[in-house]
Amino acid sequence: MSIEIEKLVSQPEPTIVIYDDTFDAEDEVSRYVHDDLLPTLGLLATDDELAKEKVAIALQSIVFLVAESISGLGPEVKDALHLQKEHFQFARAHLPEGGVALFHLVKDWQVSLREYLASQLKINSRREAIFNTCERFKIDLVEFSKLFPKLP
Amino acid sequence: MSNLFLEFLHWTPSRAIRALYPLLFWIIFLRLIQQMGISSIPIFSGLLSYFWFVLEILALVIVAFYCLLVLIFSIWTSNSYVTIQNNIPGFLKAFLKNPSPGTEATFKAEVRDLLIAARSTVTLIFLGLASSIPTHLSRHRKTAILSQIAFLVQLLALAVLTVVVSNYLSAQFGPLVVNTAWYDFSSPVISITLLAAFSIVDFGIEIEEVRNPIWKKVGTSTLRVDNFLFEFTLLDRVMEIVDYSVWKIRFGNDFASNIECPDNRTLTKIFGRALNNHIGPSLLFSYRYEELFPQKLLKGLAKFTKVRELIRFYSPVSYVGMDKDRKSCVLIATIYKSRDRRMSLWTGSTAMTRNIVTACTNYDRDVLGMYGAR
Repeated sequence: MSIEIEKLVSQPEPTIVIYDDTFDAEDEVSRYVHDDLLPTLGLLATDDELAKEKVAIALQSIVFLVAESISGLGPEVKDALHLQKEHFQFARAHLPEGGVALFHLVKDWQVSLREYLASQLKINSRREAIFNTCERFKIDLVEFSKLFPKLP
Repeated sequence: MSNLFLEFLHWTPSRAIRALYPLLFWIIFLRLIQQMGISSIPIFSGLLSYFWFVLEILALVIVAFYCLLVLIFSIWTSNSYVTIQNNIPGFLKAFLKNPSPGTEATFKAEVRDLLIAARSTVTLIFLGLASSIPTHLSRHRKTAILSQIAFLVQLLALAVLTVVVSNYLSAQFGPLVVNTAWYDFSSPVISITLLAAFSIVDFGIEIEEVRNPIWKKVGTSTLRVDNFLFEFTLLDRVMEIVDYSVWKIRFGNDFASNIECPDNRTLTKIFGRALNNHIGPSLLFSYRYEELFPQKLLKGLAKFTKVRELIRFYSPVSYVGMDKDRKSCVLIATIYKSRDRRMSLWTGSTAMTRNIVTACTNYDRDVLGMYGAR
């Protein structure tokens, strides 16, 4: 399964989402990214904690976006999602193997995020631009502040 | 308005000044008149004393009438929360007994229909009324003139009542303040300075509120002026107390309203964490504007284009949280986008409500503050 960031973030927002015990599932993803995935990324053999944190945020966001894209209720119910633990496990399992592929994926995600935020800042207030970016890329405000200590 | 001034207006003492402004205004203003000897003009005092008693009685009738209206409206709107709390367990039991895509779709639709019946319809009726009155008045000139005269009589009567209350309070508590404060209250300069400072705070907040989209969409310039004039009467404050009391009596500290809140993604995380910590296994439903105000419902508002636009702008989102083990409703939240995002929140426990409110406030202050985006 190939992951295309642009395709994932340009999907229309679902009108109904059911979060079925997803908090634990997201926690598990976070642990997996920090404990298992980050150490395998040879390119990140650095002491720069912030850089590692930025990559972790990107990977968690990608897992969420993939989980969301596969969690539709089916053709009979349009625009509705039922997010469950299994969707996160599936998304986690389908992240590309190998540091280089992951690195490219994170790079794509970062470029896409930066472009989206810049476009939002042109048409919205700072507050709404930040909010829309968080919603689109499935990151929270704290994660946003780590990615952008200053607005571009 | 600059961010610094806005911060100042949001400051708790500024809010306290606003709450007491009608009383403070009349206490200081009457004192000023006394200091300048204006009250001794015979026509002024003669006319007022002639109508004083009639205006007092009229004001009491007006206050009682509006309080009754607010009481009915508050009970009606708060009923929507009770209806949702009472109906969710039945839907949840039926779904958990036989979980399948089919029953899930039914469950989701049942909760949505409940939100529409209980919350969206109330909102539409309120906005429809708010929009139709100015439209009606703009088309019927005679009615508009009569209503404006009625408004001015109301205003005068309510101002008289506010003066009576101010006089009573200043007679009771005035000596305490004057005797303990180091200010020279006999100086008109001090009175004018205080009056100006309090007026800047109160009207600063009022101007902020009038910039709210609801005023732009359904308000008129006459209504705005009327709203400013009402700042010299106690009516708004009394109505707010009635509304606040109804919600407090029904839900205690489990309910919080007008909370500044972050984006939906951050909010979902805050809710998820709260449900995880306080409840355990849970379901959290999120319904966007398109589901809460479906086309079928908005068709009934064919004449009210402004209301439709306003709802689209508000983009309300509702969250309903459920406890899977106890099969009960544990969270109801509605978020409206206005100049910022505001949330009404009820949860099954005071601690959970407090935690969510604190988290929202912290995100807002710490993160948005660092970008100057509050």
